[in-house]
Amino acid sequence: MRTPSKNETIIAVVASVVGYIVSFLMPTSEVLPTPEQWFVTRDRVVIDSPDVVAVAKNLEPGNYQVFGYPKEGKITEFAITITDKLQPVEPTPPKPDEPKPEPPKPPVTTKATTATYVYEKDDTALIPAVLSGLNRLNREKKIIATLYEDDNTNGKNAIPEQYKLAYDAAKKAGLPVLIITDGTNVLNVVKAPTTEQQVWEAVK
Amino acid sequence: MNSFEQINPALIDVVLPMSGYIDDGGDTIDVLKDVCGSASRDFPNSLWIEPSDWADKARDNDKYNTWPMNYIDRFTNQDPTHECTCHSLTRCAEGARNRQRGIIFPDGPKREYRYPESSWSGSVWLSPLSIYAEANPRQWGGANVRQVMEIACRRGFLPETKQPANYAFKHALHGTTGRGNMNQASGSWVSVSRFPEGWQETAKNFRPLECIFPESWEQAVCLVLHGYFVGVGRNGHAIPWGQWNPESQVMAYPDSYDVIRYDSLRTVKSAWQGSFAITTMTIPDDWSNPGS
Repeated sequence: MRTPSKNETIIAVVASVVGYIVSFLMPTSEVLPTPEQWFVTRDRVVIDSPDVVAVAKNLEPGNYQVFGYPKEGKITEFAITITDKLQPVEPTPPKPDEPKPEPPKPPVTTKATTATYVYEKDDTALIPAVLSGLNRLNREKKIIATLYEDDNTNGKNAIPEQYKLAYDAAKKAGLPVLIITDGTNVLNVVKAPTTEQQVWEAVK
Repeated sequence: MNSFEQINPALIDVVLPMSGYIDDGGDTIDVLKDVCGSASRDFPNSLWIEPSDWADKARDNDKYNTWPMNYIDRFTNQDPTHECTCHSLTRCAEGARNRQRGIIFPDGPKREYRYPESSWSGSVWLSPLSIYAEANPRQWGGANVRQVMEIACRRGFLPETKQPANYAFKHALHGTTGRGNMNQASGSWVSVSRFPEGWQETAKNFRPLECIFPESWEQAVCLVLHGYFVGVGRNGHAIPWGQWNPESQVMAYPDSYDVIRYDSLRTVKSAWQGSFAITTMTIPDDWSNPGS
């Protein structure tokens, strides 16, 4: 909000005085023009307050005190001064259309759809707790939680489509490893889990 | 599951009338490794468990339900056919596949019961008949382990016509010419030449990829402790060992007659030779569309 300069303030005061004097000279029956637009200022700053406009339009000039009495507790009170001796303040012209700031993007919350424990049978004996964890993921989180042994293929002797992403990630991470994906992206990599809880918490 | 529970002696070392296992002495480790070709694997050191630690491992499996038995969701019933070797083989294959899928069936197979989770977990019921029809075109007389292993590793199983979900398989075959049950389709004898045309395209999606052949009875127990069924033939009948009981020193197995039975330690020690474990199966591009 631009603060009026000193010269502007002087002009406004002089105009007010002149207006005041003229108001006595002018016939009191003059019909004031209907305002095209209302402005409310507070501490010389234009604010958006349609409620104030609604009240002020219907009040005579004067000092008003407003009290709010709750059923119990502190009384709310404030004062309103309605006056026609207004300090002319240039209403702030509406700002040109600025691009509205984009709302903050919500954090990416991609839902896991697969959990694959990739291992080599010759090197790793499967741990019952891990197997139980996979079973829990299948049943309770409704994701595809499975084992994938290093030599596994489909009926066409190829790596099954559903395992390509996890298998690539697993080979980079080193076996045994639990790979969590959403089908398109790897969401989590847990190396050598040994407990049911580790398997469970890998998918959050 | 409680692997330490007391066992009814009447269920231990049950000898049935000939039900299909041809014990001609030809199912040796070397022969089995040869017939399985690229699927053959040696017992890895990572799977060895000292016998003194077997009880602790059993407690772990009890706690987390990670016995081989916990990876199958159905019984099969071959009565009165000679399909036992193939029924045992499908237990091993289905167990390995469900284990890869990461789904545990807490009580193992239950008679006249269908697990709801079978329908969404991609569990596929494989047809023993789809293997047996090639292993023994004469229908009666059974088959040995090397025959059925060679067939399965070469071209895979067909899925059964009865499934826990509507997979819309292009090719399927009923599971047995025997009794079957609510989770296994029964039908008349079918020769391989009358399999659905193009059946090989579907069967290749259900093929063993890796098979381990234990070289001692202790290794066989270790495989079971690690959650792998061990298929074995003895006394004219083939079954899959699925749980080791440290207290009673017996091996529990889901017999292909809708029942759990047990082999004593003495039987385990005499029967392990020619046994096998399927550790991995082919897996689909999409578990919900397993025929793809």
